[in-house]
Amino acid sequence: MSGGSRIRPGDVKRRGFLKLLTALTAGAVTAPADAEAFDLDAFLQKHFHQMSDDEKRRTLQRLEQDYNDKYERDDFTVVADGPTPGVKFAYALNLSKCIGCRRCVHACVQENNQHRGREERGDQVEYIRVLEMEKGSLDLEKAVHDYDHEVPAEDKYYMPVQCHHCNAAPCVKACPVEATWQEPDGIVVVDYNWCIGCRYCAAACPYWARKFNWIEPRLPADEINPDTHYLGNRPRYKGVMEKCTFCINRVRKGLNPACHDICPTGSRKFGNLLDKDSVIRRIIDHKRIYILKEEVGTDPSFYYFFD
Amino acid sequence: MAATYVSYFGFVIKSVRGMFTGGPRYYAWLSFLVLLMAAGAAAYYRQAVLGLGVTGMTDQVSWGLYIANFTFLVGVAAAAVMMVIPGYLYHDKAVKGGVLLGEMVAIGAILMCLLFVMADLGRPDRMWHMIPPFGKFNFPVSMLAWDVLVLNGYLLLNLHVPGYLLYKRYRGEEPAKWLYLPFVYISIVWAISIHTVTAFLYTGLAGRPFWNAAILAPRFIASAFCAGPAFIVLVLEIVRGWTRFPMGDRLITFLRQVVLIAGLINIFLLISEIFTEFYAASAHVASARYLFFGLHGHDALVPWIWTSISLNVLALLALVSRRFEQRGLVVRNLPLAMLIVAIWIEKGMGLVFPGFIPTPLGEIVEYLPSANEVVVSAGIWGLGLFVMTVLIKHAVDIETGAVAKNN
Amino acid sequence: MTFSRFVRPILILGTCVLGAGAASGQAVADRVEVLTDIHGYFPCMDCHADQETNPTPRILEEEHEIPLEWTDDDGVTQLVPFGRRVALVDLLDAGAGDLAGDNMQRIGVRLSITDYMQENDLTAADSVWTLVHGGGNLWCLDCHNTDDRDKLVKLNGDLLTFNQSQLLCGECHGPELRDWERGIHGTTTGYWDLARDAGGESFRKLCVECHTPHDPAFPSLTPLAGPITRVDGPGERRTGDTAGHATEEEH
Repeated sequence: MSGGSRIRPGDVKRRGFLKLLTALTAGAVTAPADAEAFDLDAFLQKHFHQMSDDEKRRTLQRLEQDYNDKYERDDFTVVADGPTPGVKFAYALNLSKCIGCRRCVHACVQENNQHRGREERGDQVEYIRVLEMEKGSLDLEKAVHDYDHEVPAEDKYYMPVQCHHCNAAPCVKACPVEATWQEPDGIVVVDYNWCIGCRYCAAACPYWARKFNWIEPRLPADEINPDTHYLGNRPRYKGVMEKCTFCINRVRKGLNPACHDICPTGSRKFGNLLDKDSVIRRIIDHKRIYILKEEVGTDPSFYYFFD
Repeated sequence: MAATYVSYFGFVIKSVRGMFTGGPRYYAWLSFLVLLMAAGAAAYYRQAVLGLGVTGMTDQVSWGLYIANFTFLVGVAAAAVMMVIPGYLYHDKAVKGGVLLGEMVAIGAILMCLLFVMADLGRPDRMWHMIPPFGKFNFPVSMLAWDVLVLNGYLLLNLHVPGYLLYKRYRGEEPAKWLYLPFVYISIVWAISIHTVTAFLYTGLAGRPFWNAAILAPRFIASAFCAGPAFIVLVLEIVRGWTRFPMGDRLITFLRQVVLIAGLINIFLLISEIFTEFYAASAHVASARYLFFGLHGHDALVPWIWTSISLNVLALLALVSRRFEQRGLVVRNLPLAMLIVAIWIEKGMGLVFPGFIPTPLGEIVEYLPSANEVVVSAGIWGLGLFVMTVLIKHAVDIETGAVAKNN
Repeated sequence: MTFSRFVRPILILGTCVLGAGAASGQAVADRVEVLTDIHGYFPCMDCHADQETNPTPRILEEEHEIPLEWTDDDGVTQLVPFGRRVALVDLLDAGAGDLAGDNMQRIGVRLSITDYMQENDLTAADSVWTLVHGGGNLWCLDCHNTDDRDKLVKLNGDLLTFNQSQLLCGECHGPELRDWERGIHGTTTGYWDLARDAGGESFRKLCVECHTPHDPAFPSLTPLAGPITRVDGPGERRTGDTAGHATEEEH
């Protein structure tokens, strides 16, 4: 894993040989060069947990360089801020207040560098799905996903759903290569350089929170948020899974997630479950909590509540 | 020692030569399969370049034709055990004679399983992440890790046992029991396990009520022991019709009985499932309702599942009546072919796809495989059938003495 | 005295939102700073000081002349920004479109209403509104102090400045005030972790920044674009135009 082994463009012979070598040794079909430049360091990169601090540092540097090259920028930062002891994140969402305006959905896409899709709107990767629910029912099958009228509509209430950061996460259990796990502060993350793209986690998730990069993500350079985290909003690759990380790049610095701060209604509340003065604890103490699909036994870190 | 290697090398050379020696029809069949493989390879290249977006899969229906085929073929692979048990445990000579062919079918099927999983991966270049100690293998927590383990183990078992037996036969020697019998016994349990683990892949997901039912594993086994032996019977009929492979009626009659009994159990389990879903009519019934009757105007799978059920019932009636057993090749085997198609539909359109519809958030997005996806699948089938064909040809060569050490 | 008599367009000097200078912070119980545009100079008494007050609830027929511009203590010309309601909605849209990268900070620090109105050439004339609040049981002087129009008045006669307005709201809406003080009700932005050395500030909006005091119901909004999800059948399935599909052009 020395820095010198990185393949330079134009080093055709060596590159062809290495491709052949890796294809033979790993029995793999390497992606063609015109789809994604082959990078031996990236190919051989270890699991996040197996890297030493020094290897982590060099990996982050390499990624910053790769992203700067790829998106023709010079301001990428990729950090790997760790969890703070004594912090366990939790999210609460006020079902009485949410009006379904979808500002969280779009703030999330911009903050987290999601695939923008081919059209200008709509067909992007979105971590949050806002459900328009019928008053008097919690039946998700009656929910409308693609409403486009003024909100809130009569006789409707709104329920945004995103990753619940379960403490007994079915997705984490499902992954055959431990590419996804729950951090000590409760955030369920994906190592985009380790995921093999089998999508078993997506099948396992009861909240439909996992989104797959079916194609090379389209991310216009001028729409990029260059302040990224290794386990969070750094640009993703074709063929890997991604998901909400509570904006790990923000919350590990002490900031609120983007969806929280953009919400015009104050429906979204975020904080440290272990701090008894936190808003989350006050909500649990004073409000009635609803846990979506509690019967599935996922023990989520995401609570709905009512006024 | 060196002589052993030389002998083995000769075995391999002669075997391969034998595999690719045959009549015009044999070559035509192999050429057809090569054609399929070539088309599949081209389509797979396109998928590798552009990503899995060239398939019909979406975030809503995130598994499709590949995993459906995989699930079906695990059943076919497991079916060899239906010959191994009477052959080796109860020393039924007639059945034992055909076990080798069943095991060759299993090898081809397992190979297809592994290739279908490969084709379904977004990052096949990272396959090594599964292999310890370089990778991280999430065993024993992930059911997919279990599946990888049992499938590869089953492949090895099925390569070893017939490989050893054929080699000994080639040399005209008696095989040493301790070198293969233990593996035969292991493979009996192992065969059941591959399909059970594959079923657990689905039943273990509490967030997918359509799959999260204890009846799924028994149904998998029942349908596997219906479609698998049916597939083997078709193979045996071809071998019997076109080669001098020694085979009596007893073997095929036995397998047809297995098909019938397993098929009836499968139908019984299906009825139990349908009753529980629709009589209780809890919120969990949505997927089943979508599958059998359509939901909110979405009914893409309805014709498929009723076709499957019709084929199933008609074929089983035909088998029960026993009226077609003595008829011509096509007529007597038609019910078996119908069962294979019915259960293939049942695994894909009847199990994998509706599990995703509606999504956990109640959204209904239908799935239809793309042309690219179909061609890749056809290519994998081509490769699997190719391997199956040459291996069966090999077994026939050895068993009939066409390939032996001394000729 | 029915409310219908009051449900007329009346120009209210109510929430006099002035100045683009530093926000005045009001500490709430829990280390959270209330960031508000409501501070500083209130021009009400410029006129009302010389006027006699008629305390009888009635329809305000006469035009309410107000200065559209004024000069602050630093000699800078400021607009008198009314129209919170229109401003709130558009402000959200302006903010939502521009969040990536450096602009992400703007989520934490709200654009001021004043900035917004200046950018969009809005004037007080854009903010004619109706006294809906109270369902006919309230009128101007129930909240605005009769003698000193720069102040609000509680039921017990205590005077409040405009940046203490939540205490006035809380007289009727006690549970909301209690929840607001706990951070449960209302919008909070910035840091969840107030102990951080760098930053560690949290900003909380006042009641009137989301609820126009004279028409407090939260406005309906046009939602941002929804997902492309519905597929009517396999024949019309989305090819190439959704998140899950590759571009048609070959490499």
